[in-house]
Amino acid sequence: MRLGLMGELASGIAHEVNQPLTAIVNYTQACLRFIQAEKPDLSKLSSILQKTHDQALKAGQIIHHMREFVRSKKIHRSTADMNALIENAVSLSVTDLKQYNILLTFNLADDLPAIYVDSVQIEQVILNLVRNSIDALKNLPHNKPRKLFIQTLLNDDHFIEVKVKDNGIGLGQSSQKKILTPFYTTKSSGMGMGLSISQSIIKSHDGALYFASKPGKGSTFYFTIPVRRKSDDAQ
Amino acid sequence: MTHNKPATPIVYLVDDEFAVRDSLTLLIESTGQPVMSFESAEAFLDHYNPEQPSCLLLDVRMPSMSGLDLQEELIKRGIDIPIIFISGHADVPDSAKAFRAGAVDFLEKPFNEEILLSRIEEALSKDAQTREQLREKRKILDRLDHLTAREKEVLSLIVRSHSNKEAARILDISNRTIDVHRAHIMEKMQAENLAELMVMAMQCDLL
Ligand SMILES: Nc1ncnc2c1ncn2[C@@H]1O[C@H](COP(=O)(O)OP(=O)(O)OP(=O)(O)O)[C@@H](O)[C@H]1O
Ligand SMILES: [Mg+2]
Repeated sequence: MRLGLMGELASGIAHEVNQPLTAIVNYTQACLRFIQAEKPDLSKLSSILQKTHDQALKAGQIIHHMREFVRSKKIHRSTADMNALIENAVSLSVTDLKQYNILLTFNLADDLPAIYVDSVQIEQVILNLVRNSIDALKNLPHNKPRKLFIQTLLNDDHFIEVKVKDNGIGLGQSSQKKILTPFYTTKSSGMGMGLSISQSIIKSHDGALYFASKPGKGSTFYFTIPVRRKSDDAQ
Repeated sequence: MTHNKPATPIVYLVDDEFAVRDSLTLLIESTGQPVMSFESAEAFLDHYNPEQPSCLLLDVRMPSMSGLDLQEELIKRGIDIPIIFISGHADVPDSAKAFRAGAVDFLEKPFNEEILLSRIEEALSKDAQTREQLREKRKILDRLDHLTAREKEVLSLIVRSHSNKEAARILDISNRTIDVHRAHIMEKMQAENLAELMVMAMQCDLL
């Protein structure tokens, strides 16, 4: 059953917010019990209250994230070069790539036509994909080479195609169905929003985002962006 | 006979979310009930001690091995621990599947404290009961071990309501010998009468 993006978002939010809410309910119940003690342990109580407070903030943050996501942000388009956007985005990850010993190689087409996009947003998409690949690579056994490969090309439909390929842990059938839904994550520090945000950015640029993956072999994520049209100049 | 003090029962808690784990542990421990918590099904399996009276509070959705996967694994390993599932949103298909596999309960987060604590109490007493039955069964099996081959034959006939005379005929021995065997059986099995013997036979699946 597909609920549609908004439905998925709502159900994701419900699930996400429910976690801190559950913690808050438990913490406050525990406080109420501790307070009934003969001589309540105030430092214990205050540490639980602090945790309660943090959980309430966390719930607020989740809702804030959702608002950001839902608010149809105005796209600030300008003429741009896809290869340059890739270089900018990747430069933000060089430390991680070094730290985790990941070998990055490029195959960027050198005479790509210009695109007309919101550069910040497209860089965000590239960064999300690269960060996901780094996460998929960083826990590989030490004897296995960690490879990240980024390619650009112009396809026959006048779309620029960007390919981000890693030989990381990959994805099983069941998680493949879920990774594009908001809040789906397998990472303890992940929000599960990277791919759903990326997909919505690419869609709003009339492109598409898709992927292929094999558990234990790696994943390849693709997205496409139409090349700049004559009519774009008029805007 | 030595009387071992029964080990204090423990609540095993498995949930991948730190805050849920931490807050539940605090809440349950505030009632004096010890808790041992794990962030994954795998970590729980590594530490589970079958001798420890316990119940399991288990999150349904977890990244690598889900609560339902763990339940399946426990069944496969022959571990009979009462499970209370805790879930972010009580998915009907999930809970149906869990119940069919023998879960004792399915609670939706956030929980009502009284319900949660009373379900834990029920689960722990169910576990105590299972363990008591198991101990009883072991005791009887142990006594059974002390019977001779012939006594076992006689036992299996008399618990199936054969009279002494019939038993004697089937085994081709005298009534007098059957009487002697029978007296030994009652003594070794510590049974007061035939009815008690039959109950024991039933507990050990001899009937
Ligand atoms: N290249 C990849 N290889 C393997 N698994 C991946 C890859 N990219 C994404 N995934 C899986 O998809 C999930 C969702 O990815 P997504 O980027 O939406 O969220 P996230 O990375 O978990 O969190 P964040 O919101 O910080 O991006 C990840 O948790 C991971 O399990
Ligand atoms: Mg991500």
